[in-house]
Amino acid sequence: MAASHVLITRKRLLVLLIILIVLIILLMTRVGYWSLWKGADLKAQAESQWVKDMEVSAKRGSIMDRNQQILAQSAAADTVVLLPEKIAKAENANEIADQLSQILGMDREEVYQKASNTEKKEIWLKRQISMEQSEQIEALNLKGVTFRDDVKRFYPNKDFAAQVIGYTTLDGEGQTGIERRYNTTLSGRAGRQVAETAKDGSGVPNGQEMMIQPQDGLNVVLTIDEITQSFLESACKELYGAQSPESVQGLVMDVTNGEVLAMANIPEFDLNSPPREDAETLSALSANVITATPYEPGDIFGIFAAAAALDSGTSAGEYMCTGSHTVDGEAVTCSGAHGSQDLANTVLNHCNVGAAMQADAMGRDAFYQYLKGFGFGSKTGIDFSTDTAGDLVEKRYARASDVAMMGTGTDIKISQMQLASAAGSIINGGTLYTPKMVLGLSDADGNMTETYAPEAKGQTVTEGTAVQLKAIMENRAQTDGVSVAGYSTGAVCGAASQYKDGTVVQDRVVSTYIAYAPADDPKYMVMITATGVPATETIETVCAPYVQETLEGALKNGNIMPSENMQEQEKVTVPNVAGMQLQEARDALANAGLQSSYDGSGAVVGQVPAAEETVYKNSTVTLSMETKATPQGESGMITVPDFAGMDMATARDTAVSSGLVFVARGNGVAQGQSPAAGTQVVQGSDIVIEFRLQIASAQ
Amino acid sequence: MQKKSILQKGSIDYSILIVTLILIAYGVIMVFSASYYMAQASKDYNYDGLYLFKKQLFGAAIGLAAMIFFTFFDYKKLFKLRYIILAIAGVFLLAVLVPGVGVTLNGSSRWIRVLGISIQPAEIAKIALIIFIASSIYINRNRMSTFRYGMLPPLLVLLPICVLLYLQPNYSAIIVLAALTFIMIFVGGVKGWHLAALGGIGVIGGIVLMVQEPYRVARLASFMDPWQNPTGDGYQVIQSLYGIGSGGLFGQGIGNGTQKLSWLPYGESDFIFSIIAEELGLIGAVLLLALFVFLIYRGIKVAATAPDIFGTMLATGIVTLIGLQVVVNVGVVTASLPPTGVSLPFISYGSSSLVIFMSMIGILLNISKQGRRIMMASTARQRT
Repeated sequence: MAASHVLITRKRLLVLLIILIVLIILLMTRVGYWSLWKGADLKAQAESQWVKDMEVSAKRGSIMDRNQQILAQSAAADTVVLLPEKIAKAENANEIADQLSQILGMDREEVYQKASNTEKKEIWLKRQISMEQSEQIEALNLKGVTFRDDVKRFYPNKDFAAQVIGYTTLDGEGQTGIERRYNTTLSGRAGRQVAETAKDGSGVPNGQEMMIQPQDGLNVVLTIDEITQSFLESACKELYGAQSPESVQGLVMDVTNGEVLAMANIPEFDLNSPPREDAETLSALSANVITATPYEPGDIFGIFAAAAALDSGTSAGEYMCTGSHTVDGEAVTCSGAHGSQDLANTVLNHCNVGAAMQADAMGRDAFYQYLKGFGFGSKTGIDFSTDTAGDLVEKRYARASDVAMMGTGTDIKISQMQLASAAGSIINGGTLYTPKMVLGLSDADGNMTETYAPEAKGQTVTEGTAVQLKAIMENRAQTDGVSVAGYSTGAVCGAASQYKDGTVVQDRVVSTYIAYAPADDPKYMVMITATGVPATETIETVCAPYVQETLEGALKNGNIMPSENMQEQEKVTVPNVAGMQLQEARDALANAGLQSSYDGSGAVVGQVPAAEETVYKNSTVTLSMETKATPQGESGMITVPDFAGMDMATARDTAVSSGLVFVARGNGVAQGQSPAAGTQVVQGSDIVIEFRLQIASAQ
Repeated sequence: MQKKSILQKGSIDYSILIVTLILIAYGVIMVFSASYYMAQASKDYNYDGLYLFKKQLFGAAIGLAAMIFFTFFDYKKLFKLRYIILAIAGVFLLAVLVPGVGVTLNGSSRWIRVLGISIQPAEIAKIALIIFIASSIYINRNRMSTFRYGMLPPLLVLLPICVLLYLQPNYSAIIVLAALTFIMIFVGGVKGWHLAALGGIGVIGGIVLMVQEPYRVARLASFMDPWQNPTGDGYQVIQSLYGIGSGGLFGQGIGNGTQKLSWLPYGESDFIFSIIAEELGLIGAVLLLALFVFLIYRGIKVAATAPDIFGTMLATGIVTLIGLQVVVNVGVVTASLPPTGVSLPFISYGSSSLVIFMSMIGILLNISKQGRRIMMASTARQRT
């Protein structure tokens, strides 16, 4: 008995042993199946899980003026992030709503809603806040509130050339203007970081890492000159304030090469905070009317009819205006009966009848040839985000009456840019240049990597024609009293109906004034257009004073030598006024036919130009006075403030308000400056500030 | 002469001792490798990367003491202690259900804290059950074929233990103990058809339990195709397979695994086999299983040569428990069985389990010593 149960047990032990060994061998096979047979596949899947492929964004290039002054720049800025789960745990949603709504100027209820929305893992509360705001928030040390590194586009001059520079999305994608047109160039190429990470995304010990360096965007150097632009903008703003038009457009162009030195659209908006919520307002504000909006040019177009007539040899000696003229059954009316006039006077009188006669006389083919030659009906080719071709009736559909109407600047739509470049071609002697906004591209060190040469598109009129036309324009400038001391000028102007939704706006017109100087060797052309300005007696010359003001600024800034023929005019010798009392000195200068400017009171200690120099009559002698007017006077000394830690916009404002010229190097937060804080410098000196990107604080 | 005297004294099976020590060392090293990253990143372990390693070392030291103790402790005395041990196991199993005493983790209360040490009562229940069933078979060795004496006593003890485990709940322990009981009474000599009936009831009971809670069905489904739900039920199994798959033949090298870096949950305990396969490759994994095969083989040999049926059954129970846990654990890790939390003996992190298994090895060694003495004696008798 005993033996039998031991026998059974031994047998069954053997069975157990065999079963266990077989099972374990099967499991070994199973491991082999996964590690060898399926191994490569599983490993690939596992690796794709371990490896995180992240984009490393490239730094967006800056936009600069022709002297490499920064107009747009990217810098680090924090984005406030809420973590609702943590907030729920800490039960501080109310505190967060109170504090953050105050610091960020947001609606408390909105902040509270977001803070208590536990369905979301993280919520971006506000992007790209200022450094002060992030410091304030950081100091509160709120649970569930954190920051993400972000990059903000800064426009140190705020609304300066807003429609030209353009704005970007919060993510830095160019939306309008140069920001849009050169988006790819500015953006650069994003890099990649491929790294092994743990499940939560953090790095792992001995993890493999591969980095493809991002390629930073290039800087776009504009043809815009910051100083000329300021002249133009302040003139346009004055006009906008004084004459209450709906908008003002202004342009300064170098007629010798087509470069746009300044381009303004008033009203402007602060590029740092475009009204993103209101798409309609934003698109209206950000439109560059000069390049984007076609309009009927009106009687200023007479200059082109006259140009075509002269150049084609179809001009008549006399144009008789009785107030209206019928071409092919359609009547062209004039503002008045101008009577008998020569070609020049048809232009000066803005005579529609004269212009219609000139267009009619040369015929459709010839007129269209000149229109095309001036660039009407086709894009100007400007390197800008918007460039309208305007609206020109196709030649084969144009009847004789249409041609006559077009001569008067109606039944044709052009852009102000087309107008300016066509006018420029007459002024420079007949060469039509492609208008240019961009001088070239530069790298991070400021070296030009690419320069765009001026591009001559063709000859609009002959040199001879141009000379004849310029004589008319000089006449115009004289009539309107548009003159800059020391320079000869020329001008052309006109007014046109303002259209809105296809109908003419009553009592409002579009008035344009173009002037250039020096007349004998033209360089700068200024064009200012008041759109929707109330119609008055002086409607054609309403912009003239502002054009003159801008032209004067541009000439001085451009170091243009006064005209030859002006030099032949009266010259005087500067008297020695040093040592005289102020009033005495001013009288002495006035007697000599000179203007004077001074910076204080008491005795004169110095003068520029010096005594015995020969200068033009009416030029200005600057007197240096014994007692300076104020410590903030022209040559006053000021103390350099400490810029450390400021962001670019703040630093710029601080520099400007203390009378320093702001020069930025780099990007981000001010980390160094020259001269150092506390140094005494002459007002108007340069302050060079080094900016460096914020180093994300390790939390 | 000298050799003979050693044999007469009876020596333990040194190969079992050596294999056990190798396994412990293997386990402690792998626990270190698998747990370091997780522990240094976890607030629960005070960001101390060595926390689990130190605890496991401590467990191994206690286990070594227990193993030495049981090597010299006459296993026959366990027969007399069977009710006391069973009672202790019962008390612990009840205590774990008392709120405040039991530690609840992931929805089940499996640990109790005594004197600052966490103990898993289920581990104590395992050895208590082995001792009790071995005793029962020893008592009823000549009437094992009867239902009343052969089958009833083990089942009557198993049932309340299972109920208590069910309340934790700890289904994997129930499955292991049920299978253990089944195999022990099979080896003990119960009738074939009794076993078949019992097996049938077990399978039906299992299905009922399965359908009761939907998550168990989901677990079963995830075992069949873990990729069906890669972020939910299938996640752990997929991560485990990623580990095995990326190990290949030779592995990434010890310490170089990636899956333990937050990807594979419980990489230091239930899923340590996957980490081993990743770091030491198929070779390391097969070597580990071979060590277990050897241990089982020697253990069965000890069972077969035990001086009495109590020793045989005790050894059988111990070997079966080790074998079962290895098969179930590796089965789960290799997606061959539905996911269930069974630790890998000697290897997985967990002091309770380590101490209990090492105590069992101590008992096994004691049986081997006594069996050899008898064997030597009978051989000596035959020669003379």
